[in-house]
Amino acid sequence: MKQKLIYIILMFSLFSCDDFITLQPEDTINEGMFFKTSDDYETALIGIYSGLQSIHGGSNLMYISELMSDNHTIWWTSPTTNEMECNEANITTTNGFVNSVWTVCYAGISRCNNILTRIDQANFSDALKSQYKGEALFLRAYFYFYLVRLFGDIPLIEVAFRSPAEIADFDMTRKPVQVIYQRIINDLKDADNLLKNVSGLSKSKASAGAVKALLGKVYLTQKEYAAASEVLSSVMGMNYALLTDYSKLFSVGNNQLAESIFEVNFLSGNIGEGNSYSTIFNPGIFNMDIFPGGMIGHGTIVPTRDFANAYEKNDLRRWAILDSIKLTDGTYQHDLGARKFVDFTTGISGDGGVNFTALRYADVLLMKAEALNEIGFEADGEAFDLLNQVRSRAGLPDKTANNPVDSLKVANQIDFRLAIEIERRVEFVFEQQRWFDLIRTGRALTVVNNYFKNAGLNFTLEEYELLLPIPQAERDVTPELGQNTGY
Amino acid sequence: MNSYQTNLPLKRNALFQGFIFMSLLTIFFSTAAITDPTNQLAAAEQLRTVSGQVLNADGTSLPGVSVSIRGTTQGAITNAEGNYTLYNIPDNAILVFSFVGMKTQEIAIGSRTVINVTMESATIGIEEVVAVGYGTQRRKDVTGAISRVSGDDIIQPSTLSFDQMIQGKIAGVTVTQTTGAPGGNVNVVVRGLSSITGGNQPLYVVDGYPIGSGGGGSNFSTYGYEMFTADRMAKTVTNRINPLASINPADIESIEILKDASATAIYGSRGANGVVLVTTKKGTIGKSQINVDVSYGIQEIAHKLDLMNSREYAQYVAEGRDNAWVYLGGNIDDPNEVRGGSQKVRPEFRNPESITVNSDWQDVIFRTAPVQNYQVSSTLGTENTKFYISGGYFNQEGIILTSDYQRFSLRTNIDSKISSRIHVGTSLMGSYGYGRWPVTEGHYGQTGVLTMVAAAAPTIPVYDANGKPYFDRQDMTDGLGWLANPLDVLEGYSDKRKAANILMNNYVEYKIIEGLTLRSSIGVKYDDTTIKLFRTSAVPRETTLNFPATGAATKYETLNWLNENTLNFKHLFKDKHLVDLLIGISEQKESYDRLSAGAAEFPTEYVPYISAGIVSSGTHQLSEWSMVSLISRFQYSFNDRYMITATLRRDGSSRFGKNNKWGTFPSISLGYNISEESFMQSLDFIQTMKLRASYGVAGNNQIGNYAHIALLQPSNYIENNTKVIGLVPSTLSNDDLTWEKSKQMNLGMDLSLLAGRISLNADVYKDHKVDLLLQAKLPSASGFPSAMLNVGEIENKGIELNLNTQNIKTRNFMWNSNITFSSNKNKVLKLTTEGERITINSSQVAQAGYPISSYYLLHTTGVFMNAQELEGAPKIHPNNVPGDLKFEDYKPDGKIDLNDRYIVGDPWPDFIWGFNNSFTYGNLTLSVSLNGSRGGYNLLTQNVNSAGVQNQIKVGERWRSEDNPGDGKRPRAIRNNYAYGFGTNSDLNLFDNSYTRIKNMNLMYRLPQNLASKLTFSGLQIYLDIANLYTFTDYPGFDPESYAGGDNIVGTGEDNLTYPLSRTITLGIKATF
Repeated sequence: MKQKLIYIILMFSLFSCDDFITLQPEDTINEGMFFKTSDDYETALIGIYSGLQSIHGGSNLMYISELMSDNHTIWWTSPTTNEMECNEANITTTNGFVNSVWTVCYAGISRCNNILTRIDQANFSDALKSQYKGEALFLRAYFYFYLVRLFGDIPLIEVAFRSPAEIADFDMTRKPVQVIYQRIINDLKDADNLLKNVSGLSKSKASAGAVKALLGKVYLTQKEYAAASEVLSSVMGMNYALLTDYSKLFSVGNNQLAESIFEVNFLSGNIGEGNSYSTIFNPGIFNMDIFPGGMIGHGTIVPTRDFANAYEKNDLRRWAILDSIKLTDGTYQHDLGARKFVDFTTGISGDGGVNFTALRYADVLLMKAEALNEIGFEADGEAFDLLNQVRSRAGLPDKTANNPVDSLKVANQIDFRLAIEIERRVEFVFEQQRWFDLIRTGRALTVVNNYFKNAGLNFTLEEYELLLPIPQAERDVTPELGQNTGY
Repeated sequence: MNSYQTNLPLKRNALFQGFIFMSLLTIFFSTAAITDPTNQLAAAEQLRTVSGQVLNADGTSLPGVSVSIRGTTQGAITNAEGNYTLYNIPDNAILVFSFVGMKTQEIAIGSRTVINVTMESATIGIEEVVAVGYGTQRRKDVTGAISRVSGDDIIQPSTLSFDQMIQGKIAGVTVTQTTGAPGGNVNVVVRGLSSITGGNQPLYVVDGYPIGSGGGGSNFSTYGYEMFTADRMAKTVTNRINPLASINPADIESIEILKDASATAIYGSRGANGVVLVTTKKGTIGKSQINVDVSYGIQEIAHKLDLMNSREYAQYVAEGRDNAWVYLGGNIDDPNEVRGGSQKVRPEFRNPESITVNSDWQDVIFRTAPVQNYQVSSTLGTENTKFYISGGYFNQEGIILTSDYQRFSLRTNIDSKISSRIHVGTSLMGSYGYGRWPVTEGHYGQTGVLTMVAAAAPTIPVYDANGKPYFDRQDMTDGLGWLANPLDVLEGYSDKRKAANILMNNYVEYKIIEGLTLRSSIGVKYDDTTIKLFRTSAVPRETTLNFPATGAATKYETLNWLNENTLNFKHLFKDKHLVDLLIGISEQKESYDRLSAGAAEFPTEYVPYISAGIVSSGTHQLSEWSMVSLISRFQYSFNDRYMITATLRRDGSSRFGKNNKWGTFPSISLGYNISEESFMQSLDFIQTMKLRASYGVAGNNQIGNYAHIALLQPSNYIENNTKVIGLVPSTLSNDDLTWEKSKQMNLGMDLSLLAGRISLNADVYKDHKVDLLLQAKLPSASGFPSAMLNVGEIENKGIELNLNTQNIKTRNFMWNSNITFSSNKNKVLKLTTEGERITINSSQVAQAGYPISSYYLLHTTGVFMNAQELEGAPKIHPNNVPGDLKFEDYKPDGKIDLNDRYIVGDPWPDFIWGFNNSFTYGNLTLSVSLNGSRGGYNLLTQNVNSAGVQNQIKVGERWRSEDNPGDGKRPRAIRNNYAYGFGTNSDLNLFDNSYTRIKNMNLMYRLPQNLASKLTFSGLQIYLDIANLYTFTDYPGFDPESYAGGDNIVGTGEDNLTYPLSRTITLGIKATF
């Protein structure tokens, strides 16, 4: 009896200890088992594209690029500090949107690096590898391009981190703008090589056209006009075209349209894949009756009166904004709202299904026109033609060098710059272009401060504010980041 | 009367269930009693009469002592002179002398006919045996800081779980009842916060089985957010049921709390937050006894919010809207036609006297509700086999409509001697609880009912002309803090949960030689929970009405098994050297398995289950942990004078990185019983004087299961109008991840004076927590904003006092009291980098040099009274005007922004205390428990914002004009948050949460023994119990302990209104037969 009992007890005690306490999660994938097959890489790539939904979908970049400009203001009663700082051009180092743009863009970069540093060792077809590498390079450049324009000098990271120790050992200091741009341009050139023979890519993914259009924008920003003009011309040689109906570009169902070069896709249906354009672009009026279920606007990025007045008479693009809001009692309130990107079929906030047009043909035309004008003004030359293609789609008469109508007369290089600025403002409203356009052309201070003055607002945009502050939270962890002057 | 205010079918149903349950138990126990083997023995014995006198220790006679014959219903009570007489006593009988506050004595009568007895006070407790983890110790041998409370001393009939009951009873233990929801969360913290990222709850051990860290109940902070999509509903993991509610408090014999590391180190990597040992009742030798305890109570809300009435509200709204209009450049006299929507003022609000509706929305959702508790237990046993069997049924309806919780519980404890050397036993516990949780917490936009009723304008009627809950969209349009009628929300959202828990532990003990025992146990704990969620389209999502119905069903189970094998040698050598040696091995593993599905597109809303809709979402989660441990303890006591205890535990755990899977946790403690020394014998007023000192290291492993492994998480995208799954890295790997360690030093003294009339336990401690696991901030540029690292350090220092006194002891009247006092100072010593602030939530941080969860806010210095004060003053906004808030320019740069925040306070009290009294007069006993807290702060986040929308809690007088400037603290009303700084985090709404609470009052009448005997009871007591009688506090919220973050203890301090506590009046009968 005694011995039997001891044996029984010993049996229970004799587990192999270290095996017993080594457990792996069963319901989630861990890094050790991933990054092996082509499917793994494709899945990892989807994860990068998903980051585009968060920068463009109405949570952070939208506030900085639209609300800080003269295009938009706030129309609800309880705006947050983050929102008001953007609206009043008074960004502080603790602004949540700034922090978020930084974090989301770098998260995207790290996901790109995860692919780029591992894919050469993976075992699948070279053709697919090229495609995935091309996509990852394009996306890395895409994120860096936003960061460098917003923050100036920034850390440059091209490795994949696997443990906290590796991060601690890495040089996180900021690298000069030129170095970042060089990286962007090299990545895009590589991506172009890798993707140029890949066909059949969806417009929600990187393609040779998207790479070239972005490269054109990078060159334009770098004031390398000849290079910009050249690469944009090659985009024009591809299979893109202006859509006849401007409104179709920004309404439910705007998938894979001829004008689209690179689009960020969303899907309605309460499955967590929608955007919040519908509510943020419309004012916060409780008894509005424009959405199902009585959903109301959130009013955080609504058009300014100044913007509404910027449309020329009979501009078809005025479709983009609402002049008044229908109320539940059938009357209308005279407040500005939006149609562009707004999904009137959903009554769920954050569940809009209209895709975001990140790069499109009209942009290519106007960028090319801008580049040509900077290379040299040519009265009624190619640049005029490009500008007028966009205007004509909007139902507007051509602008010419010697037009008898003053408002249609573009007599010199300076006038042409202004014509581009006016055109881009109305063409691309809500498309996160305005702030970057004003920065690129050096017009931000003049335009925004004029807007404040004319609207009777007691705010000023100062020169140092053309770059965002490095988020305080980042400097707390990495003091050697330093800060942009003025903050 | 409308259908919302009654729940008759439910009440009847509950009563009926209680009745059936009781009947079954009674039949069961009666059968057990009939077959009791000791029953037949008494008949043929010789009978005689026995009498005697019962005296106090000081020689005075003691009336009211119960003298009974063990195993029978026979007995008597001593008279005023302390005399008793018992007739027809068999000569093998054993007399049991018992009296409240005295040690029960059992005396075999043998051949005597006169038996005089001197009773001894039980309060000293020096002889008692204390559970210490993997064994017991005599109280006088204990060298660590261990507090004990007996189960019978804490019982509160209207209370579901024992954790609530120990509040104020044990020094060094902070118990916070964060919510009054039936079945809801209770937080227990031993000696201050241990961890910023990991758990802070102690380890609970029931009859030797470590069941986990408690907590896990009721994080309501995101309540409401998850209920609008099938997917979110299916994936919500918030728990509502307090896991400790599965333990029936009536079954508890004693609770020991191991506080210092010398006591907790035996639990190794799980001991750092303290250990709560729960020992359940065991059978006793003798005739079966059946105890029945039945009570019925009525609950009502203990404290309502002091909100504005209709007229005050109308004025406030009119002011707020006028001010907002003026801010936008308008003129205060402008008519509504020219104003924007949120600046319009209803005509009647211009003339508040004309408003006749004055709804009290709190009265609409609160009700008086019953709570019932039925307990039956029986102890029976022979020399060889002892049983404790019990059953309980608890039914509580909540004081908020639709909320309730019920629990059935059963327990069987059997201990049996198979032979003189082999003992076996089992303890078997089953419980089944279910209830419904209304959506009480959360912002009113997320239909948190409490904020809804606090926000809704009192000018809105509750019911319409047809007696239906009133709703008019115009009120919403006019911004009257109203998005739906709370009654529709309560009815429309259903969160029903049930939990079945089984805990079974079998042991065998084999006595190898005298003093050497091998014990082996194997146990299983199985918990199964089902959640059924359904939201009808009557619940709006923010301003969206008729939001399509969604539903979800979740089922999860936790299977935990434990095998422990210990070898214990205990021997007293030469009557002087007591040696107690323990070695052992323990293995434990837990698997968690959760399945859930969510559905939408319900064609009708008659059937609130996912089967009636289209199932569109689901998930399956699995998670496991395992640990294996080596345990050893050495105890030595010389001549009852000098004691030493040393423990060592090695734990291996699946939760840590491969370089640090194993950890060692040592401790040592010394004791010195000075009172045993000969030179102390002359000081005869000192009965006990013991000094204790200890040092030890314990660990905290509450960090989740796979923190050291780099994981990927889904991040999805859309291609061709289809959702495609992407994966992105979510965490980094860390092979070095290891335990949080607590290095604790404790000095203590136990003192007992004046024949035990005064006894004092005092402890001072210093606890240095190192290797704290922090979600350390990393440069976001790395793509990983944070990683779990062992970097932080925290210190807790404190004092604890426990004082028991017999204040009055006369022949008829006795007053005993117990005072507990604890003061703990918490300080963060080190975080990842110097000067780092870890954000706990929008108002609280952890920063070196300050307590965890300190408030990091702008400091308000009052209100700008006039234009001169504004002149040149630092402002939060260029357009500030008189009536707006002033802030301290902490970082003096002439402007106020978030960089001017600094640490302005913390939520932790300077000290907490308990004062527990029992007064006995003859057969009447009155117990009164008070407890309190001093010096902590809560940030009230709801309904104190001056935004001119929601109804407000009256916390002061706002600025209205230069002539009517209010109290100088509260700013003017304005329907525009940002510009004036109250949208910014400030300490404006930080309130002192000190309180004194009459926690419990219990008046018990013990029927005279002869009367009870006539009624065939061996004992009968009737009691009236009032729980949570009154709270003295200046705190303006529902309750100073209110906190929606549930068991996430580090966030304590943000009060966004939680289910309020009730005051409960209970009447009960306790019978023994």
